[in-house]
Amino acid sequence: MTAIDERSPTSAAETIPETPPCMSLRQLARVFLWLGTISVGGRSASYIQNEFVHRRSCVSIEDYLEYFTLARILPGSTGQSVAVLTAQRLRGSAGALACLVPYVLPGGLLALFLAALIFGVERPAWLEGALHGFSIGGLAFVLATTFRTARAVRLSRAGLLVVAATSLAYGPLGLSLVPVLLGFGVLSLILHRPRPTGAASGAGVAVPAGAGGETEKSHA
Amino acid sequence: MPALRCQLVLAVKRKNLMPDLATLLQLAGLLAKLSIMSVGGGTAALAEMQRDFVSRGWLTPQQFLEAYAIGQITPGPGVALVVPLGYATAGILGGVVALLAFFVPAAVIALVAARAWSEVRRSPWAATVRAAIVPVGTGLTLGSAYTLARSGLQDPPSIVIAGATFGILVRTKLPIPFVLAGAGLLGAVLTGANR
Repeated sequence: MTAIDERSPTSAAETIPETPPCMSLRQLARVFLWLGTISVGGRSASYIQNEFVHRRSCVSIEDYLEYFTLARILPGSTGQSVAVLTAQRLRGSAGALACLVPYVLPGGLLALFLAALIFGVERPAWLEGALHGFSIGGLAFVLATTFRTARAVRLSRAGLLVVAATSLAYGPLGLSLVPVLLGFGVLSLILHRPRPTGAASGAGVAVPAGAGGETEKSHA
Repeated sequence: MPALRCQLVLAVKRKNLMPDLATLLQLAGLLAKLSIMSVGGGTAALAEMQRDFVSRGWLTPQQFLEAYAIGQITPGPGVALVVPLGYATAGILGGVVALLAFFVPAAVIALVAARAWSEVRRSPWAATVRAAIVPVGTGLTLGSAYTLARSGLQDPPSIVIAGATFGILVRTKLPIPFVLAGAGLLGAVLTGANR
């Protein structure tokens, strides 16, 4: 994580350009079919991040984190909501609709097959070990993506404080999601509230604290 | 492979292929309710899900854990977790109904929310929300990774597999499925070595 200059006079709303579509609807559906096939380990949103943020550079890390946080507020699977928000950003409502079935279908079919195959049946030790190794591999993938997030994201000093407090509360302290989201969401809103820039901008424009640097990185 | 196929055929035959409509409707209603309740991720309603399935006599606690394990090794978003639950309750049709009932309500809400957010996210107040939301999302990601690592890495073989996989993923650009297949192979070998 990198600290940015909070005094940047650039308005976030001014610096966000329209992102040109980085793929067609068909390509988007194909990518989500692929992601729905490989994303094991219980945190499928990490695979979306890897594909669109790190591999294809279609979505900025800040946009991804925005979608991820919104998805945590929405009901249902976080991965499913992140997929819809990401596809909506890339190809509008048609993209959001086009990604859903290809994303969910492979896992659904495989789960049905596995349920019929191994439900209530004694599994050999090597198969148990292989399934365990596969799951741990998925967990390592989530950790590697988190490591990349921490290296890539640029935040203000206030933002870094919110990251430290939120991760401590949600991780080691084990507080539940709703109070963490509400408490630190409100704290972050207060810390990032628009402030008059005064002499720096010369126009007294209200700017969200820390927003300038983040959006510069987002669309660089 | 023939033994595996035989096992599959027997397992499917054990299940009732045409469950009664009342059970399917109950299953659909329950999972649609849980889908809307699961704010914060598909597994947020896990405890409620276990209580409902076990109290109705559809699954034993052990069967619920097995269904959860199948969901964990299945790719895609967390919705696949409900397929084995539906299968155990009402066979193949139950699995399909469970998937649709859990997936569709949350998907509709996500579609509406995504459209609404895409319309307002460029307004000045949305820029403030964006600036505020990114650090919270980063903190949640780090906190989730800590919790996952703490619960998943409790024995030496798991730590070895995770360490090797993490190192390969960070230092190389090998395709993810190959790396995960390697992790599975290592898991099978380490399990064999421990026996």
